[in-house]
Amino acid sequence: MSTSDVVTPPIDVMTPGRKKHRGLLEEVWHNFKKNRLSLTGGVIVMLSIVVAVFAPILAPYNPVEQFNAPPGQHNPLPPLSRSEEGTLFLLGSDKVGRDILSRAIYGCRTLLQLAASSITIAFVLGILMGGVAGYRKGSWVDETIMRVVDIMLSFPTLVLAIALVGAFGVGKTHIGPITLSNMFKIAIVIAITYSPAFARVMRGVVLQEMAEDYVDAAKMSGGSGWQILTGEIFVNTIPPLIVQGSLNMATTVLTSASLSFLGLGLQPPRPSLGIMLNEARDYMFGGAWWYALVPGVFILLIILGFNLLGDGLRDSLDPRQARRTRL
Amino acid sequence: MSSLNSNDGSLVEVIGLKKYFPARGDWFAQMLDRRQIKAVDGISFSVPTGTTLGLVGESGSGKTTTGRLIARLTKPTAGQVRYKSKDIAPVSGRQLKGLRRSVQMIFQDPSSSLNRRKTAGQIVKEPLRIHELVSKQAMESRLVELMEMVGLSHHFLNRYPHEMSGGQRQRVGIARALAVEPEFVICDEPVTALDVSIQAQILNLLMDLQDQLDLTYLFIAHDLSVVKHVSDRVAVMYLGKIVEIADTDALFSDPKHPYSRALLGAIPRPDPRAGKRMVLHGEVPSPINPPSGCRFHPRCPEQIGEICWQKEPDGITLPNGTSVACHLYADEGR
Repeated sequence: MSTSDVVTPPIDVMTPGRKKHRGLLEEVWHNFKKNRLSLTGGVIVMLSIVVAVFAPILAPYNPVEQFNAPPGQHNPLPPLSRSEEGTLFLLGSDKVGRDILSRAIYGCRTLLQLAASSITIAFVLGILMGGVAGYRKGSWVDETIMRVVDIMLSFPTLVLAIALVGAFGVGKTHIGPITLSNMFKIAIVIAITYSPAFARVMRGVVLQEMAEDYVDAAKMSGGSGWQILTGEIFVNTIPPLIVQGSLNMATTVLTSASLSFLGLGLQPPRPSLGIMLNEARDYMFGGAWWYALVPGVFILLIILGFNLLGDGLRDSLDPRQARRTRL
Repeated sequence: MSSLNSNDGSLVEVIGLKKYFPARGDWFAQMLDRRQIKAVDGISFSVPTGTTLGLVGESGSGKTTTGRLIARLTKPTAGQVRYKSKDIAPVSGRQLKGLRRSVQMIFQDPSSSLNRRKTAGQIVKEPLRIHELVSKQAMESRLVELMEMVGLSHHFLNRYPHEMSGGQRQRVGIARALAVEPEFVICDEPVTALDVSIQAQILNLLMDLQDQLDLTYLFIAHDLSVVKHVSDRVAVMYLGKIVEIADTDALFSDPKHPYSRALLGAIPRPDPRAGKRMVLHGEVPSPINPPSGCRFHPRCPEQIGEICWQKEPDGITLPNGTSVACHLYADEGR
């Protein structure tokens, strides 16, 4: 082309065409709803959240109230049996006569509370560490943060939990004016072991985005490093972080349940699915199949739901990646 | 305005500018491998106020690095970039923010230079907000004004980059650069990523804006016909060095350096009988270990002997104002 020969008419002000593209959310929903499995996951997750939120309404009895077995029988009672007081145990009772359904519903609540708070802490920690490391790539800041992340990553969750619970006990901990509830302590333990995953994802995405010209353009506009990181780069890191978050949610639920199963998490008589499983161990081969089955199925469904939802979100947020992994 | 600037009317002066990158990425590999990529290796030129200097060269010749050095997106290894006679390397903080108001950049790929999660309005607003140039009430009208300046209606303010064509995106990039009312604009291959049919529109827009706003341009490109269209003077780069700087007419009618001649030979001509074209053989050598003497000598069809690979040629100013770094002209300097 020889541009010098081209005579262009004076340029009129252009107006955009009529076609309106979908926004990010619409796009994601459009992709998401096509996949039945991820929709199922979404429904399970929604249901468990509803159960957790409305536990006091949904649970037939107080989860810590004990009922006596009718004469001639003893707890645990099988599903659909009645106590001496005449209350109906839909899914049976446990060893001291508490309603298993009510305990499972409340257990679902505590489990989700714990998982959600730990994932939130892990999210914030990870984003901060990964974002700063990525923005200062190759510097001593990056090296230091990523080595700390490596150390955190190499710590087994359970060992760390045993150490911390051993050090601080299972009750409330007072550090100066701050009182840490047991739940919060456990959430921090879990968060510490999961934040490295977020830090690495965040660093990777930030590195990728730093190669784009808009970062240089933002520097040319006079923005400071912090302004560029929070105002320009961060919006582009959200989709992969959401995927990481929803996929990690499942493992976080599992870790929370394992911790209470080992007696390191929430303490009885607080209803917790992990504790219920632990109690059920003694009755597993004595014919009380419902005792372990109910909390087990609750945990299984929650984890399955989050896994399916996470996969679906990943596929719909990054369709190209999805096609590659499905091959 | 130009008379207020430095003695010779140059807005930007580049003196012996060098930029070396480590050949390896991380610090550990760098300890084992201390080789350096000499992306820009001692170049000097100046850009007079109100003019356009074209900077051409093959990929890897260091022209984009030169642009980034002048924009102070990276710091030089040696040498100086002077803006209004003042070295910009030590500038930081508040002063750097001030420099960002005077020197702006238009990027090559408008799909990468616009944040894909922001609307055109948000993108153009950003520099205005950072420098606090416009009050909240006046913002909307200033945005509309900027958009119309680059030929876009205000409807585009709510559009995301993926809802626009390449040419429209580049216009948004231009509007962002001009939002701070700069004096000097580095155009880093602003039309390379665009359709041929759109290129002329953008070039004409850039030239109209130069007239309206008294802008000074450094125009980086690898397409000589584009450079011919917009430049007053042209600098030809090869392997981190400038081999020739000449007025546009002089360069295109009578290129002096053998490399410039070869580059001009690469412009497609409609007439097949227009004469023999000079064709270069071989690849561009590695900037890690550039050839001795004149860097062009391994590919040069007009070598005159030993001196070419032993002595690096200095810039020689010819009577018509052309500066050329080639031993062929050793006796013709003024």
